[in-house]
Amino acid sequence: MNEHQGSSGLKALQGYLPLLERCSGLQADPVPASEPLQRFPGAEPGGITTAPPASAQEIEPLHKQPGNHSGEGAAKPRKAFPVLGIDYGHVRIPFEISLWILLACLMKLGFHVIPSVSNIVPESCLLIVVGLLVGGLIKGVGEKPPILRSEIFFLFLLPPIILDAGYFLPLRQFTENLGTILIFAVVGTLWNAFFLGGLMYAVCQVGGTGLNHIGLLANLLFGSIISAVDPVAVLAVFEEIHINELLHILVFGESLLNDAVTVVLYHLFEEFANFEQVTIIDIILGFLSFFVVSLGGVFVGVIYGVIAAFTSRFTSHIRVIEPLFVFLYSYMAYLSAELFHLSGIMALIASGVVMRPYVEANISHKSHTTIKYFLKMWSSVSETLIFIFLGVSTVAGHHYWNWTFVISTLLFCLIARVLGVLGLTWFINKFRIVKLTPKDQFIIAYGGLRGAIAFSLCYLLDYEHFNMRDMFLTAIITVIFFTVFVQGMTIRPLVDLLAVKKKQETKRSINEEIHTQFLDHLLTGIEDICGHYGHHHWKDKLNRFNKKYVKKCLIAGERSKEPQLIAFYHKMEMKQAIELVESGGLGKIPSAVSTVSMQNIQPKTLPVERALPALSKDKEEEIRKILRNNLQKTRQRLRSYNRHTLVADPYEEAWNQMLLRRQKARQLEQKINNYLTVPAHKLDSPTMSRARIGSDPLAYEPKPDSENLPIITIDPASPQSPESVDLANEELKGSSHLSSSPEEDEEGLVMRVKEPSSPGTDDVFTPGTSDSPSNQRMLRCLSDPGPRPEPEEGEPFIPKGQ
Amino acid sequence: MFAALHGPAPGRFCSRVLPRAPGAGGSAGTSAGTSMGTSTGTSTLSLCPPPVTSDQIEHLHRRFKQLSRDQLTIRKENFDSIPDLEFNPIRSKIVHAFFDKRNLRQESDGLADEIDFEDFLTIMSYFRPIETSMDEEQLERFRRDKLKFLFHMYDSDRDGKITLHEYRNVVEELLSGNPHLEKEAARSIADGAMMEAASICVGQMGPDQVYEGITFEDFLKMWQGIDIETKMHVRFLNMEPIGHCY
Repeated sequence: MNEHQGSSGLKALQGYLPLLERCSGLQADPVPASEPLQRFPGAEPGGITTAPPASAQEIEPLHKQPGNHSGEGAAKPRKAFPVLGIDYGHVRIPFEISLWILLACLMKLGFHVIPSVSNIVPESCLLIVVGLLVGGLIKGVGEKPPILRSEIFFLFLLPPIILDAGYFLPLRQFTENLGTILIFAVVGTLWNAFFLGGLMYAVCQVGGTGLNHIGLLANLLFGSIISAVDPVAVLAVFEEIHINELLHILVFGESLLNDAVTVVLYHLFEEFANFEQVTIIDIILGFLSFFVVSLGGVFVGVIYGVIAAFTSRFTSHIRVIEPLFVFLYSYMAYLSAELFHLSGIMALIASGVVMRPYVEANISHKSHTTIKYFLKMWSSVSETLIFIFLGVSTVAGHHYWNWTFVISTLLFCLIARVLGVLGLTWFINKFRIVKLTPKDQFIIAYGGLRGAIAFSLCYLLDYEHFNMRDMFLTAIITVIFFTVFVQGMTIRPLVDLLAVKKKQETKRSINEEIHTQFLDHLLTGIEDICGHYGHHHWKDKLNRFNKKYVKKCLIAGERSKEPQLIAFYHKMEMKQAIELVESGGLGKIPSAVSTVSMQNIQPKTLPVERALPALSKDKEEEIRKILRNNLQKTRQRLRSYNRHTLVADPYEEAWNQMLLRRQKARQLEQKINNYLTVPAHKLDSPTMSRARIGSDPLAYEPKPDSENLPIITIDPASPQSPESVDLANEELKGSSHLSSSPEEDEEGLVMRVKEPSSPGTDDVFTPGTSDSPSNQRMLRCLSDPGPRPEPEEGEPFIPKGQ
Repeated sequence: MFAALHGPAPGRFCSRVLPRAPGAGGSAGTSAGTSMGTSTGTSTLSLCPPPVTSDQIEHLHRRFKQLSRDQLTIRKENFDSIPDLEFNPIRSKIVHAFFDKRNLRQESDGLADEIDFEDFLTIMSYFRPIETSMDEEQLERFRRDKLKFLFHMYDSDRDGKITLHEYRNVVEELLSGNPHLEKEAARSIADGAMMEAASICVGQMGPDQVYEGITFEDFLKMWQGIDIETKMHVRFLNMEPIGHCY
């Protein structure tokens, strides 16, 4: 019966995909109901494939032999070879899945096109509304809308979201608040489940005829299903409100870790409901199983995480499959945990957390980017689908609305949450150093959103044993909708109203990293001096163990010995280089280094710098020659490489260029130093030399007010223009100019005379102020040649011969 | 004497974090009580909540005696006896901080040869946790105090600036736990960090300008992103507070 999902999905897409419009138009073709499979394909060729409608008409008879035109088929002794056949059943499932995903993506896209909507209403709400509409449409057409099947949810939709959360878990905050999170997740969820279950049982006892048959265990089961805060819903809402990290990790961590409690309670009560009598031993076993489920999940996750890290040690030759290992091992961890009814979510998180530091050290930067993007992509698609299906399922499912039950569920849910948070924070605050303020408590209580996990768990219930399932589902959906819509929509204004601390947008800087490490060591030291073995002491011990043994096993080569600070520094450098390339050239350096150079912070090198302009003309010329030759060689080699590589990745190429240039620049610096025979500071650190040569001149760019700078277009091949380099932004400006003014276009290959400009800068290296051409040339020699993002546009670099 | 420091005098901050709670001195009842006590003005007390409780003081005093081998003062050598400290890469800086007179809030400069229990407590009081009862002003001072302590650890020549040389030293020490120490790497990290600091604190710089070092004001700027008040504390100093602010 599912085949109509697709067509109705298409209907919903009408606004977005004009191409598909014809398809749904064609769908109105009268087709016998006995052939539901044929109906949609009949529409297909006209809509999706570009096959001419005539041929579609021709084919149809062939395909529908048992149907209308069977007489014709029977008359023929031998069937003609089908030139074009239709077999929708063959592709149906993947086709419909793709359509649903497409719908989800287009919806997501649509929400971001209209920013005013997504500013007020969280995406999750919009998606549920879309799901409701789509479900209504499907129902309106007279078909049965699909329901969010629990197996699909737990096996395919949930893992990407959890893996994304686990892999990018802010470990530091998480471990620092682990106690609080655990108390909320375990005690809080237990409290919610039993409080709600007990009260609902009371309600059922007095609530009238419809409810009397619901026993205590069924109510407790219901309570355990509904009590867990849902990670998907929490993520969806909290990502948007940018709340401070502490609150985020508290609520989010709780939603992740309460999985174990939910799983145990769920299975426990489900089993108990079938028992004749529940003995004390059963309860003890249930209690034990909590530890087995949670710790077992973590154990499975850690095992897979270690294996993944170990595998990634050897992937240096086959970089392309590196990301796959991360996904596969994590998924295996999830499945293995589910296999034993352990907590799959815990396993996924544990594996993500364990493997990440080692995998990241082993795999290439590109693979890391791939992992990042894939995880984000998968998780956001899953999330979108989950919310849409939640809406669709609401329309599709059977509902049994009982006012008493639903209203009291909702009410007790909220009360239990508030009481639980208040009570637990009172207790936790006794031990916390950074106390949770009433505001924090409010947000934690308010952020307790319920979601699709509860729905799916309830859907999993066996109708045989729980004939009140429909009522449970209705109540759960009501609670989900209430939390997602009402709380999700009001939490942002409330956060603003209460002036809850927001997340600070800080770029992790090298200074911060140094300070953080310094502080860590300091605190460890103070703890040791106090003779108190606290948090920092054990962390330090663990770190040392990690460095001494684990890293050696799991990380290949030299990187295993790399201290964290150096690794961080390399990462940052890499990021800067990439940012540099991505920003369209070396014109503007986005990093902090841009405005300050080494000579600013180390005055002793100043004499070297000063000595430069004072050189005699011929000496200067000589230096310039060296510089020019070197840079030109680089440029030429890279150009040719560029031309002969079919699938040149401009990104990587530009980045390689960057590194090459940096290296070159470093060598040149050395040469200059030798040449100038300035003995002091020959042993500049790499950054220093790089900074001076690589970024110095670039920092002194013409200010933005010099927009009307004349374009410098230089032909590297022509002898009268010795410099093969120019500043990338000049060239970008140039290209925009080129398109606008045709007469400049004609002169594209000629070097233009530079006019003095940008009077605002008092900088020697600014090309504007210094009229002397030698100075300008010096600048350009020193600067890196910009990468060429669009080689076709950059006429200056194309040799005259072309 | 200390009360005067709490005035709006520029450049000086309320740095008397007061290891002595009024109630604590008496209730501790140990010999520590003699060294703590009444010397401090009450005006300071009203500003600064009691950092350390009697239990903690007692514990610290036991530890102090253990370290000093029952002497009244601790010398640098006494810190050598702490085995765990041996692996700490910034060990010397930490030990130094205990004897730094700037941290001890004595008027004079330089290094002390030995510190008594009161000084020991003073140093420890830098690692007090934040308290909910603090208002904005107290919080700000609290923050500054902690950062000042850190700043002094970086600024080893006491000229009020963290120069490039000092910064390199710090990074080298941080990396010294590593057997394959590359001086080059440490230097380039320090250089990068210094450039970053300069660009954060000064912004656009001409080639003639010289950034001599990170001043305390710059240091504050750099730490803006990190909630030092919630990070720089030792758990031990957060036992249930008994004393109250009078």
